[in-house]
Amino acid sequence: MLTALTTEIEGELISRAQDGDREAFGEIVLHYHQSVVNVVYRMCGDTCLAEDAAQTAFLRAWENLPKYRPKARFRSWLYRIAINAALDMQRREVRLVDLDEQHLASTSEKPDQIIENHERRAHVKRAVQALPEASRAVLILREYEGLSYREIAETLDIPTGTVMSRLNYARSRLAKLLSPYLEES
Amino acid sequence: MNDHVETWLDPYLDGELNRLQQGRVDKHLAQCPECRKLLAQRRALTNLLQEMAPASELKPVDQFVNEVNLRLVRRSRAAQRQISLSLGWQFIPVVLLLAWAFVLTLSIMSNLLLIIPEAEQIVQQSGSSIISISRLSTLLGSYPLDLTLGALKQIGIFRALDWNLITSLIALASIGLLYLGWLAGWWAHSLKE
Repeated sequence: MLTALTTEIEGELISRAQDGDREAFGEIVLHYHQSVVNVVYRMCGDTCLAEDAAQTAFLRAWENLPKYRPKARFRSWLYRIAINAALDMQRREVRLVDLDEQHLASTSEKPDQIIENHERRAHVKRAVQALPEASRAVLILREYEGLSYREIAETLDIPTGTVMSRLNYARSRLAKLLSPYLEES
Repeated sequence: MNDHVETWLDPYLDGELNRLQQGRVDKHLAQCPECRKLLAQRRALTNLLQEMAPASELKPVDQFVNEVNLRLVRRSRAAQRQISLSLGWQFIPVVLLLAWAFVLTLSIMSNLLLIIPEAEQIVQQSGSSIISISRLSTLLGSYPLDLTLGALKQIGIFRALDWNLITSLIALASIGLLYLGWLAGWWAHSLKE
């Protein structure tokens, strides 16, 4: 997760990176690496694709950094680039590798439980992937990145009302798709 | 609040309601088992979604940063191209201003030509008071413009009008339109950014 990085320090790093300071940009990459990878991973559902997409996102951010203006939050700006990179990557690469297998091997749960949990996770993942891109992006930014509606609106450049309606749609659809698991709990 | 509060449940759950709205939803939930069930379902869904593990088996972060860093070399070229494009955009109004100055100079010069005896003869030969740009363009060897103006002259539409004024106005309007086009382009460009 993100370590503490004050707005002031972040602003300075961005300013230096805008002037072409690669070291400063490296600090930014280091700071946002995990969250960007997670966002793109949840958007495209594949770790390999996620790392490629995250790298692409950072490279695009570097190229466009001179155009970045602090009127938008840097995180929102970066997430927007990351989401677009993930969607571009996903459209290019059709392959989807279910890496929950690795999770399966590393757990200490009982075999029956492992299978059950694995199936449930795979089902959740498929259900999230089945959402339309627009709703999926809103859901991921809210559920996994904990962004406020206002931040999501800023990131995706949509009105707050649209954030609400897309989130409502995504959750309602997931509730329907995952109803057996919800009834269990 | 007699109606159900389905649409408010998501912002309620996400802490996005103000105190007043939250109070109203609380009040409704206290008396509506249907909405309470829906809220519980939403909470369960959030918990279920958290089971989807984050990306695992990632390459070490230092390696990731190094790989990104290695691919940053082309930034300077891209940035320079961007700066050139940006400068190009900013120079467009200057070019338009120069064009306007040129048209104005041309107009003044054509008026001055009327004062020159030789130019007046040309005017008389043409058998019309229509001069300015059309005659000047002839002098400069711009035949297509002259032919067009000649054709218009034959129609006789502009006979009663000051042709010099019209051509100047047309030129200025064209420049104005180009400027508006530039503004629209700039606006679209800013939106895209």
